[in-house]
Amino acid sequence: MERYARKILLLTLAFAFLFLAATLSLSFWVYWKGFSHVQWRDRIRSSGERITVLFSQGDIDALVHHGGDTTKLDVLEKLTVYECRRLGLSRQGISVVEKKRGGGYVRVYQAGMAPGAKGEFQPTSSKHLSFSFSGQGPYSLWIERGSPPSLYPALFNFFLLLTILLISLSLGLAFWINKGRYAPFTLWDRFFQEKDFSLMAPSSKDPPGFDVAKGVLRDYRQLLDVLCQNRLINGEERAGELMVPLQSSILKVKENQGKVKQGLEEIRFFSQKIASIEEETGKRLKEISYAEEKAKFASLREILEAPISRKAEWDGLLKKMRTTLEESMANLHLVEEVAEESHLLSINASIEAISEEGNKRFSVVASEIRRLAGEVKEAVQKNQGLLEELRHLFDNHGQLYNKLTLNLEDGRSQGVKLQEEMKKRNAFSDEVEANLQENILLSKKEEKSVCRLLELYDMEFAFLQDLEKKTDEVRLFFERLQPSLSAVQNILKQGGQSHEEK
Amino acid sequence: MLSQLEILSVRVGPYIVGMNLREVREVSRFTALHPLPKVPPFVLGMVNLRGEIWTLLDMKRILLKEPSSVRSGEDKLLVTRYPSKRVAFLVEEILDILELGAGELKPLRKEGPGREAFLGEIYYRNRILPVLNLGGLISQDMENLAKIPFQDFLE
Repeated sequence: MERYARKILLLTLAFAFLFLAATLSLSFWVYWKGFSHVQWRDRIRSSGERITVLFSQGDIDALVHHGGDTTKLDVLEKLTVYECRRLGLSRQGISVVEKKRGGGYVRVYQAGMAPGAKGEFQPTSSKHLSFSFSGQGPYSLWIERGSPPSLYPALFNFFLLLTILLISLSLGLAFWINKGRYAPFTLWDRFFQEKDFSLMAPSSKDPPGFDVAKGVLRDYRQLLDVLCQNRLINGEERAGELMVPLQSSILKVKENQGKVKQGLEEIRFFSQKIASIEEETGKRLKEISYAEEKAKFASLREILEAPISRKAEWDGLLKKMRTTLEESMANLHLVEEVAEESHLLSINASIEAISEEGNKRFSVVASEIRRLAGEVKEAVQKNQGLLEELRHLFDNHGQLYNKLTLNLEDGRSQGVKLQEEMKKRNAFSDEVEANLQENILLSKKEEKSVCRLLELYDMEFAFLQDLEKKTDEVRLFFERLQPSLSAVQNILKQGGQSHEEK
Repeated sequence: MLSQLEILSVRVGPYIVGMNLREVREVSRFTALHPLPKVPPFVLGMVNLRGEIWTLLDMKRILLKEPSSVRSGEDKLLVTRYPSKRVAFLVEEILDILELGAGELKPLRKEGPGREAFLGEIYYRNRILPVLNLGGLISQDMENLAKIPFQDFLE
């Protein structure tokens, strides 16, 4: 910033110089061209009667005959062709009188004429600045007086430019004299920030007027010192009040910091322990959930599924056996029928044999047939008994097997329920394991946070130590500053007394 | 040894009774029955055996005074050898023919009305078996046949 300061200053001065030079040139050019500004303006309203405006050359007045009244107007007249064009007016009916003394003008022009109205300015006298206006219908005339072009703005601009030039030259000269010694902002800093009063001491090398400027700066600096002194005195008292509790607070914080650090160390130790326990629990839970129970369930499932899968085969076999049994029973029944018929036949044969016309020897055959039929019947009855018993056994077996299959179905449904329960349990185990993993991560994060907190506490401890040192330094500084402030107060008191004496 | 008497044993309800085989013409299965109106309860109806019409009496109702459940195909017909009567009996089962020697038929030990309907009694398979006199039985008056307590002689 310092290296550009001189350039910025020089550019600012150059711009100001050029701006003032342009303003000065413009003001001279305006004066030369005769531009002026409006000093006075009035409006006359008429309903159509003739108005005569008389301009007296001597006292530069204007008399306006309006109806029966005469109005006196102060006029400095000059109405140039240029202004007529600028206002969009025709010169017709506007009297222009050259005034040798220059400056000022009188302008009369019509405005607000009603539609159809006509008006015309006519000069009434060549000696007097007078002309008349006649129109039809309502109209209004503007009578305007302008000031003559003035030379004062140009002179003001000229002197302002000259002042700026002088200041610029003085500053440039000062910088040129101090070239290589102080940069402008270094000078400012040394004076206002570093309180280097030697710069403001009168010097033989100073250009004219610098002693005055230095005196002003010295007074300003003294005023600042007074203000700063009041602030410092009040601040020192307040700081003294605050220093004691601040130091005691720092000591308390340092005492508590040791306890907190010990507690944090314990928390970190317990976090590590919890993480290790949770990790081990998760592993064991996973082993229990997946390995043992899945194996048990697989064996149970095989036991349950095997008989159920062979039930159809077993049912078919039972059905076949039952069919065979029924066929055997039917055959036995047929044999029984035959035996019964044989029995009856043998009875009848015996009856025939003992009849008077019968053959006695036939009775032997009949008795043999009867005996055989009886034996067949007994055998059939025995077989029937056996078959009945067998059928009864089949029935009992079928019922038992049905009960068994029902029990197995029940067991399988129980197994399905058990499987669902196991799935739920496994899902629960997974969830517990996930929670454990999350807890482990949290414990590790907590451990990291505790470590970070411990680091921060160490940093805070160092900061407190530093703060304690700084507090001691501030206190010592205020103790050393106190005599200087007392001296300044005395100087101010003396200065006040001398001012009162003056 | 030639037997003196052949006894046909039949089962009537829980009892087994015998009858002289010579009084029996034939035995056969019971097939179809033709009921008769206005007859005593022990007259079941008429049966047709090879073109001959026989009156069928209920042996169980006559002896035990109990109605029998007629089972077609299982119950047996016992046709008597008395052409003038043409009577057949319905029995539940035809059991066997017993050949008796002389003196094996004993007179009934019990006395009472209806005694004439029995030939006597025999000892058969550890039990006393009464032997019916079919001729005496069917010669009874129909009204008496329904009233005589034959069951007193059964064991």
